[in-house]
Amino acid sequence: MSQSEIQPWPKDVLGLRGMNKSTITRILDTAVQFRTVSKRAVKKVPTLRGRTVIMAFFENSTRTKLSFEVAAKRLSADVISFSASTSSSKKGETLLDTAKNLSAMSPDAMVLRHSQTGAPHLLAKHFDWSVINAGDGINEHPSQGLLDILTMRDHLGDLTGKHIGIVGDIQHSRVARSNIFGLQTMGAKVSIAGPGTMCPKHYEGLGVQVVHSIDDLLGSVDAIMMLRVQRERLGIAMLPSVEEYASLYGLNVERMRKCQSHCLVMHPGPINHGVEMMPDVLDDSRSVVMEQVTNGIAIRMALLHLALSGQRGV
Amino acid sequence: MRQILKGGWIYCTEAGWNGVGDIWLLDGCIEAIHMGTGSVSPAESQVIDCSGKWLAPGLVDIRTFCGELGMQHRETFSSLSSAALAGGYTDLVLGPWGAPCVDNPAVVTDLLARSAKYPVRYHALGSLTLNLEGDLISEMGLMKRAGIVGLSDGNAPVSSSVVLRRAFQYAERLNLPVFVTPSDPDLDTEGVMHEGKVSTRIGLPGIPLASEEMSLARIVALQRDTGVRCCTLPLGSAASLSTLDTDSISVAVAARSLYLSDASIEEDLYNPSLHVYPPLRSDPQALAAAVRKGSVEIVISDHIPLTRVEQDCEFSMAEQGAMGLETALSIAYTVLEDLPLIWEKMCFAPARLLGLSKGLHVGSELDIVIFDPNVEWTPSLPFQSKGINEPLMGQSLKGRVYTTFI
Repeated sequence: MSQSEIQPWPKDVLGLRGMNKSTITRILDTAVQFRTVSKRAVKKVPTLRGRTVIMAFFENSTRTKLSFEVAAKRLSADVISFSASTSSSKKGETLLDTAKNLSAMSPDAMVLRHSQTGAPHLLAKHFDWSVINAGDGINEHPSQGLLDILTMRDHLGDLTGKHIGIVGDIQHSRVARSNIFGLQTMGAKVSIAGPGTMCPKHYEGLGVQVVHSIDDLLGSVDAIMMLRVQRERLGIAMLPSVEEYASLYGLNVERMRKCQSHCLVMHPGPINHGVEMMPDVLDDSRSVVMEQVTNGIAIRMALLHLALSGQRGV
Repeated sequence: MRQILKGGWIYCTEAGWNGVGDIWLLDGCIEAIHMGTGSVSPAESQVIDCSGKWLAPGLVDIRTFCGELGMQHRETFSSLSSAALAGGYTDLVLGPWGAPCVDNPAVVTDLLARSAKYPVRYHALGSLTLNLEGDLISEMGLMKRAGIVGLSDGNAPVSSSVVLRRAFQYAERLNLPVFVTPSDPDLDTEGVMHEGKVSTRIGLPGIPLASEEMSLARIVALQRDTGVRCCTLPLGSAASLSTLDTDSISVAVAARSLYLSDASIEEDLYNPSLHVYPPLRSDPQALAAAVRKGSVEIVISDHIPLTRVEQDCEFSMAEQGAMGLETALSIAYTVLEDLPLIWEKMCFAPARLLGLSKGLHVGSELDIVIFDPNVEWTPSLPFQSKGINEPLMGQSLKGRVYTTFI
């Protein structure tokens, strides 16, 4: 890439909507370089020594929070973590007030997960330190989208023209939305499937194909991503029963037989075994679920590195 | 001293004025109106050059929020009055959604007494149901005796059709107009903006158009059933108007809905000032066409001021509502560019609905707006209102109120 084609590195990583192909490629390529760090005996580089990263998780998270923490520590950053249960938001403090107090402690970046769409955008507008979106409302989960795209690229190569299927509760999935935006930018065709309550027709406005049967996707997709079905959706008339969902939309061995031999099986976790995915599907050689987790650390190292190591404005 | 508004275009359908002329003002009243350009100004008069400007009665707003009592940090009668005059309004109808709720005659009396000393004519709506809870109808008759001009439950629509029908029946016998929000609370619960392509792109939960369409159909059916005089609180979309015969009711829209759309929330990403109810829908041009065609009868400011504390937050967490008093007329002129039409929608039609007298008559008390259609301006802080949530902030608007006499 010539110097003139390199875009200034943005202060924040808020989502994959609007992120161009060269930026995504640069993140993926940087992540590939960082993958080797995790394979060494001493899994640490001094890239972010002396830099402070705050992990602000206002929603429950296990893998994303740990993954970001591991990524930051492998880059030698000082990591401060807090969660909603230990923050003053429990006492009614607004997000902006919490962030102002944290800002007074001179952080370099905040990794933010929040239940409200636009929470990271709000902080990005008010502060000069970097904000990395670790999931906002139903909007986006960009690091998950990027690690999924990296995993697909590892196996499928250039994603131009590849067909990716996403199945489940698209309406409430920030993972699905980041994947849709990112995959389309990388040239892939995206199809989504699910019940009408979870996969509404107006998603066609995003340029995706909406089908209501998983079976319509199986023969043609190069990767199929199964989303977690939240059991609490049962209580608000989104689904008649878990059993019906598993039967109509769950990925099982029989459906796997209809997939192409190279079709990747993916899941952002945590998995509801026996609902969206039968346990034996994970044993299929085409399952890359654990690779997604490993790539998550590399992607998050890349995001932190690019945001904090003087790459801005290159 | 006598003031002479000289050479402006005098417009008042009620009094029959429509042409260039002078208005003489003396001792708080209209002393004389001279049409044409031949009148000679007496000595010792203050002459205000109004050439190129529009002289007409002050505007009437059927839904305005004031923070008194209980929420003075948002708006006081003093700041509200200043905002109204800056926007060309001389009659404001206060909604019942304060603290305390206007659901009994004592609160009506207190509210009207408090507002009486300010330079705007204030009118009050009583609540349709006790404490806006949708269960029991309020003391409509006693509140009418105390001075209310209509009834409304604001943005807390009565979910029970039985209660709403009874409220309509009761109000009809009292000859009180009802102002009803066309929305279905069940369908609205999860959403914060219009459901469609934009909400899908930017990841905000949507409010389906079906909410408004279903509710409007219910309102029309119950109005026909009861015969009550009925006006919608602002409609967000023109979609329902093409499928439903709404001739028996008055349909109102907010001026901002003629200009902004759901796309505005993507352009000015997650700006909490755009978190309004009804949500900004996707068809402002169709709504403007409905105003021109006549299926929309009233254009309102839908003024709900909020402070920085209530706006410095995530879009979904922001209180619903936006300012409007200081910009509604300019928005309407920017979009519609038809001052006689605008005055019908923002002055004469709401006045008729409320039974208010509006007209530039010799001998009547001052109630005149001078509007300059030739200036362009950009709304910016500070405003006369205490609010900061002006959704048209930074946008270029055509025409502005020069001054208001009352």
